[in-house]
Amino acid sequence: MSRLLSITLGVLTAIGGFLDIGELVTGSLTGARFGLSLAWVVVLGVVAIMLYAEMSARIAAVTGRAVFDVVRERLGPRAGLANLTASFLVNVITLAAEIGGVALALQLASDVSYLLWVPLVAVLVWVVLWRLPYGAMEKVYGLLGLALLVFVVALVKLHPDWGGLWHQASHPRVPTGEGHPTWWYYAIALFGAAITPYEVFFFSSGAVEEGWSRKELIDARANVVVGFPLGGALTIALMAIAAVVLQPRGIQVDHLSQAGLPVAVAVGKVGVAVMLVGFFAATFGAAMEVALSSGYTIAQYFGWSWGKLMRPVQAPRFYTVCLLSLVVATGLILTTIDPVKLTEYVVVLSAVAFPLTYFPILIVANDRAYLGDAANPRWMNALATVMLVVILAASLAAIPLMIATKAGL
Amino acid sequence: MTLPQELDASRSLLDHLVMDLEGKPLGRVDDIELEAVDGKPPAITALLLGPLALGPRLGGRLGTWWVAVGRRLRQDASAEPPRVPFVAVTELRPGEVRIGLLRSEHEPRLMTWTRDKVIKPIPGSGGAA
Amino acid sequence: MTLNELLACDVVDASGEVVGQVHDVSFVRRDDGQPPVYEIRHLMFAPGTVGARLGYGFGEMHGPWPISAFLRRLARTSGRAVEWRQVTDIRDGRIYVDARAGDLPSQLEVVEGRR
Repeated sequence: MSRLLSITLGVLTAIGGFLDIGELVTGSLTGARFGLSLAWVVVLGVVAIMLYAEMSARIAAVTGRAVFDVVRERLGPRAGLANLTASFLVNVITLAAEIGGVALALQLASDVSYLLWVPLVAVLVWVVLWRLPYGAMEKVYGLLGLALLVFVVALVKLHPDWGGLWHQASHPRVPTGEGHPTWWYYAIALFGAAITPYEVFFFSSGAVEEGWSRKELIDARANVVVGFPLGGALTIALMAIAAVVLQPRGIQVDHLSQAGLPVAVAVGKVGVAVMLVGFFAATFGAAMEVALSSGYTIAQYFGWSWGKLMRPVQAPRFYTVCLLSLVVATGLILTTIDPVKLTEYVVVLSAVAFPLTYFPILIVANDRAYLGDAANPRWMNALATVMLVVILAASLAAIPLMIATKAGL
Repeated sequence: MTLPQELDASRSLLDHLVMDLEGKPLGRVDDIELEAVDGKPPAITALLLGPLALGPRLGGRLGTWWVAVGRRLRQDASAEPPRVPFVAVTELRPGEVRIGLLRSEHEPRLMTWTRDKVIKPIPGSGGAA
Repeated sequence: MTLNELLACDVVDASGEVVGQVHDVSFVRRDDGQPPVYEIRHLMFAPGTVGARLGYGFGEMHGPWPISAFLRRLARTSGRAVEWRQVTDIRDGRIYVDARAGDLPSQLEVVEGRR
């Protein structure tokens, strides 16, 4: 395959792959409640994830070490275990939310309750991980995720006041009737959705397993630098259509169907069908990534064999952990806990664990004994440190704000 | 590839991956066995792997519990952690310690157990019986 | 004996004060030829362990500023190395050495002295 084609494929996969149930829920929810006043958070999140994804991929390409190898080596067994426990817990709950998201998309398409779809979805995720060639699958759902471009189409067809939207986004202000703490709470939720750690676990583990050298790193940088911002733009488009259609009518997003309402209004039934394909692909793809990430983190901490390309008998402990996390996540979503609420909670709670994951990456990216001349340049350090401060702030504010606002009421 | 003249335990050994002859991971260096002979300073005799070695590093009640679980899994109350004699070390690289043994001849118990009890029973696992 | 039994031991210097905890041990190759045998050379200790743990005591971490500047200063001023032959006793989780902490070289000096 020509290099240009493969890079394009990578970028397109990154766009669709950027969005999962976290962005779908928080994007439309904040658009409906706060207009575009939180669009800047998406921008911040995109910058942060670009930096840390690139660093973790660079570390993987140069040293052959994935994120949790680094965490264990740099933080040691005790702090590393604390990090592992938090990350694994967040991973499992995120997996439950993604499975719920897939099931909700199927419910919207079929009128059959999402609870009945959940077991089927779980089995499907397992079958893909167990048997099907992962590389091809990744491209398929990545490209199908592009169906979410229907958000952009819907936005254009709604003929919004572009100037007004731009003003809202560039002059962030808490809308009248909403409290400041709630606004900041949802800022953390949006930020959390953009930089959920499973993305870096998955990205760096894939880089190690596929044996990336500096050459693949260049292509990966293209994916990251072009794909993630476009994914962020897609999230803002979703926010915008919610702002245009739902906010004036005071409609809040409690169910995934409401997230799709603006598309129905602007593009009609065909638009909704396309959107559901996109929902399905984005959440299903994410579910696979999160399930694998649960295995990656534990296997890397303990020094087990791991790999999505390995046959299960070659990495039995790794696949057992993935299976276990899938079972627990499925059980969690079957308790009939509201999947949308669960998503809101997990993106905020995962913010608490962020610094533990991102700090070691920044440290190792600076280690010249490890990376030689591939260590961070000054400008990247400056930016990444600023981001780390933001990440730390979000992590410290998450729980207090959750309590103060009663989880965003 | 010769081994260095000097090395720092935490920088070059501890918590590093232990990789076999084929590049497969055996586990991590969870602790290091030292022996003092003839009044000389203690020397490294082996790398220690597994929960029985990791437990004491975790310390406190967690560590004690970890060791207890490790002993229960082996069904041996006086078990010692698996050791890789230091003479087997062939190379030190960033993040990993290479040894001249094959993992297939020293397979970690949990790996064997999960393969036989969890993975193989599920159809399509890719292993010959 | 295992390395873990030395790590996190308190270090008590000649003045009788606890001057830090062991966070690393350095080894030197005993020149008996093949196969190489590594024996303890230095115990690295410091009042706190964070900076050393992250690798800042070895002089090859250059960023990110200000984290690196802070942690390197910490490692330089407080991270010290004592030779094994200066150890007089080990008991009850404490290592007794026959020198004063202030007279001992810093960890960075020892590491740089190798090159």
